Amino acid sequence: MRIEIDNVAKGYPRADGSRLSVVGSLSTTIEAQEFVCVIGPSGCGKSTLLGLLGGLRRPDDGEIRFVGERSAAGPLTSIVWQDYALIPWRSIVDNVGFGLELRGVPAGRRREVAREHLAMMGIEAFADNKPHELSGGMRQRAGIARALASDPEVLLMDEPFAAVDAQTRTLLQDELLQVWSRHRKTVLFITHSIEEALLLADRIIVLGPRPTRVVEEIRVPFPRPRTRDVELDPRFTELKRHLWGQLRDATLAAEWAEAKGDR
Amino acid sequence: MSEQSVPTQERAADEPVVRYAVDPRAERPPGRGFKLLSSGLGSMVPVVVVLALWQAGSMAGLIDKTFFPAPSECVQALVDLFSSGELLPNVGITAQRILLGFLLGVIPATLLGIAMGRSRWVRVLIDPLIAITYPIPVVAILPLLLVIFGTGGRPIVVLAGIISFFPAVVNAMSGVLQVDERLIQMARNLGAGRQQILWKIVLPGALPSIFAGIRLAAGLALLGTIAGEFLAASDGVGSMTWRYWQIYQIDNMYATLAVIAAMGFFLTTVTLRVQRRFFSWTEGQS
Repeated sequence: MRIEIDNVAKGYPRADGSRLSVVGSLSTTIEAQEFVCVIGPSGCGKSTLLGLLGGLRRPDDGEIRFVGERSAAGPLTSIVWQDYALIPWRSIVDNVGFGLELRGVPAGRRREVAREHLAMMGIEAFADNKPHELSGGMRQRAGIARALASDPEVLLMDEPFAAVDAQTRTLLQDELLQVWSRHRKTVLFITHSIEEALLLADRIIVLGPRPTRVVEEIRVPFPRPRTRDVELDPRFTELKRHLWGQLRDATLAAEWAEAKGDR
Repeated sequence: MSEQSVPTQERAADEPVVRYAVDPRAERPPGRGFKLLSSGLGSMVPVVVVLALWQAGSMAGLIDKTFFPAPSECVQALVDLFSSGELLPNVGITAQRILLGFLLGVIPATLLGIAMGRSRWVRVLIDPLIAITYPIPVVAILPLLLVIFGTGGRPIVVLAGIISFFPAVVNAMSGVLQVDERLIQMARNLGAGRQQILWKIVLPGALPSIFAGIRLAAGLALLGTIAGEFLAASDGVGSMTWRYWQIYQIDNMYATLAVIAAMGFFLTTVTLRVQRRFFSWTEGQS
């Protein structure tokens, strides 16, 4: 399905009664089966945008439309969370089957589907472990397995690799590329990392500081199937420099705003 | 100089050298004796030693037997109370009061606490009532309970119920309030409704805290029952203790005290086992 984000605005009430505008009239379209990365300065409302797309918050203004035939059995979106959001008292396999459980899929069937997805992420051996027994990277593999097993139209990923160490992040990026090339779900992937965005995305959306709106959209020229070798492409370096140029000023502005207590 | 080998430099004879003086105790592993004492059976050793000293002191005439009869005499008194058929029925009565009072307090408290955690309206209405009544020492209202419920077992059960109500309600509420908001968001994103969130996320997430409240409540139900029996009962282990004090049969008094202590120990051990068995996941976070 295609996501049309049409002049969406979202703010929160401040303690003094005034309103903090976080997302300000944001418009863009994400095509079906497209892998889109969103980058922007910290505190720019990326997570708010994700909450809006994930059905957790309502826009103050504007509209989010999911357009096209439903092609998946599950929810419109499923979110892969930065801090995993695995249920600590459930085994990994029952965490991964959670989305199916919510819509009444019988236990045998959902375990079967969950195990398939665990196998796909290479962590079938940990099916019966509790989350706290796994490393951060393993937990996020489970998080991705849960999101995919739920069979959503769109995968929303909220800085999913920000909490794992650099080596593990590299592995997870490669694994995500492989898994995605098989599923071809529509993906909206929020990240801080320009390199990560260039490696993964078909298109990169650059957001500005609060109240955030789209600063620039860039098509990533590297062909698929993609490997880490794109980093050797001279266009990679060029795009990286360009994107950092876009982000640097916005990041500085965001830091100043934060220092003034404008949160 | 080749690239592979970095030459080591010779130290001049007069170059000053500084070393840390690491406290050797900082990394000494626990020795055999310590391990023995900290094991399950070994932890009984201090208890046995105290009892043995007590016994020896009593036999040697160092301790006043009027107040501290020898442990052997207390054990003898316990055996006599048991074989005369006096003890067991009273233990049964007390156990029943503890259980009834506990259930009377904990069931409504847990339900109310969950409702308070889930609904800010319930919270804002009930919280002031709890804040006002919590600090009242519950034993102080025993006379009122006697007026309302007459004598016999009923006011004691109600006393145990009220006293165990408070930790259960407070812990249930805070358990629900402390459930990880991210998990609720995660469930909502995957399409969970309010009921599903309650049963699959909130209640299981609050369970360790609810159970901690229930553990406290169990201990307080025992306390309330014994206190009630001291003052307002003619049966039950508590009333036996009180009576043997009044008629100055100190060895019997100690025997009944030991029974009360054993009941407390039993409650603590059982609830701790349950906690370890079911809530092992609370030792890590997701």
